[in-house]
Amino acid sequence: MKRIFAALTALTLVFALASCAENGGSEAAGRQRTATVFAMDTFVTVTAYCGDETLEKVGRLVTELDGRLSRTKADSDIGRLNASGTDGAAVSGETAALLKEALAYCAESGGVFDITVAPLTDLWDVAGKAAGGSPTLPSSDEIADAMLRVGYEYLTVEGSEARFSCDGMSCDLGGIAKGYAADKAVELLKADGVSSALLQVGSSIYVLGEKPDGSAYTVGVRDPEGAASEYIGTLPLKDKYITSSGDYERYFELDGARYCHIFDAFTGLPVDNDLRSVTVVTDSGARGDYLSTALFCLGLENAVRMCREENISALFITKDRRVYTVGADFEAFTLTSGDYTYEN
Amino acid sequence: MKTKLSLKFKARDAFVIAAALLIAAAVFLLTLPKANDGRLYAEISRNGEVLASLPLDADAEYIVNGDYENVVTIADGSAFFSSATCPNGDCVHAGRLTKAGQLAVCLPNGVTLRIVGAEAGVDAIAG
Repeated sequence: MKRIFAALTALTLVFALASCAENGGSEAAGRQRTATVFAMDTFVTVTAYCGDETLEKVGRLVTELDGRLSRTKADSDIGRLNASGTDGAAVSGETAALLKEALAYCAESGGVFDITVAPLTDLWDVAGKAAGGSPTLPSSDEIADAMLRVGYEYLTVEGSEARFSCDGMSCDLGGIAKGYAADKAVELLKADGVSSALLQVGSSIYVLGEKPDGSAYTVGVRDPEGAASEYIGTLPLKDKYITSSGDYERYFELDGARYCHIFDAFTGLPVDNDLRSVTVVTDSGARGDYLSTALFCLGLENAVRMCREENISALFITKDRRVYTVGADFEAFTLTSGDYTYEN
Repeated sequence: MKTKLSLKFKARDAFVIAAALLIAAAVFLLTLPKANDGRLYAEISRNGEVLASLPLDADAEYIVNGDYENVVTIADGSAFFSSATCPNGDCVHAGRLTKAGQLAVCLPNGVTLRIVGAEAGVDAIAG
């Protein structure tokens, strides 16, 4: 009898300990789970303490947003708008709201950020050339022709109808769609009671809360001169979005010059200044995407001035490997790479 | 007829309890998530499904098939896409991953290569 008692006690112990191990120190919401969805021309990875159902909902949300906002899908809101010429197209209320938000960013930046640069993007086809296509430069006439079809002022949104006032224009929300998707995914996670998550949309990250052990999530800032897995320094973050823009992701080189995928809407040329990359930390993903692009276009001096005037937190990496930070969200930044000089 | 229940603790009881504790400890260790054992692992996934979790301290090669083919190599404490048939080869250019939190992706084939483990340098890399 006593042996049976001892055996039962032992079995209880075995299952109790095994159960602890299976949960891996999880919180009540569930185990840490990671899910990846491929959409919006990139990947979306969520690492969170939540149930599978929440992750599936995030996946469906991102796929649905891709279906509405993708420029390359003919039946998306943006695809139909771009095919409508000057007739205009009815878009969903959410797309209309995002278009209005994007146009407000265009105006705020004085046209430095412009969601209608798609004719230039197509003309230069940097991504295609970077992927192995033969690098050639468009002629100045071709650039001038494309420039005639660029200008956010010629896109209007009234109610749920968007319309171009010039023929041949097209809109690309790719500059803020990933951040917008992050914002929506975080709303969903919060609504499902998730308090700790790391949401990665391509190379942009939303940090929700802190780790279950109470420590902060730490994000590395990519080394633009190194491989995608290398970083120049680290930054602890909580409830913030961090994103970068630069000339190192999609570009091609010809005769020693680099031609990147971000365009100067005033010259029609790929942006080429003293910056290699700009990283911003914001509360909103869509605004973060806009700011990183606009600040990169401005160049170091003007970008730093804008950050100081508008209380923006940003990190700048120059082509000569100097690092500058501005704003409260970068006070805890630590440079870990010996290849760069921290100028602050 | 009743059997008298003896509560006297004998050496054999100690043996049973010790054996039970050993089994419990073994089950506990075997079911611990791999990332908690202090080693670093290369987690290879395709379209969100984890295909393999390989320790960085054991050289290996893993081939992912799909729309394209990626070869993941584990060597010298690092994991990397050593070759790929995808159109742009971004995954191969991502370089060698050695620290927890590092990630390389092959978009065309839906493959992610992530380093997981207790010695997290960063949780993710922005940019």
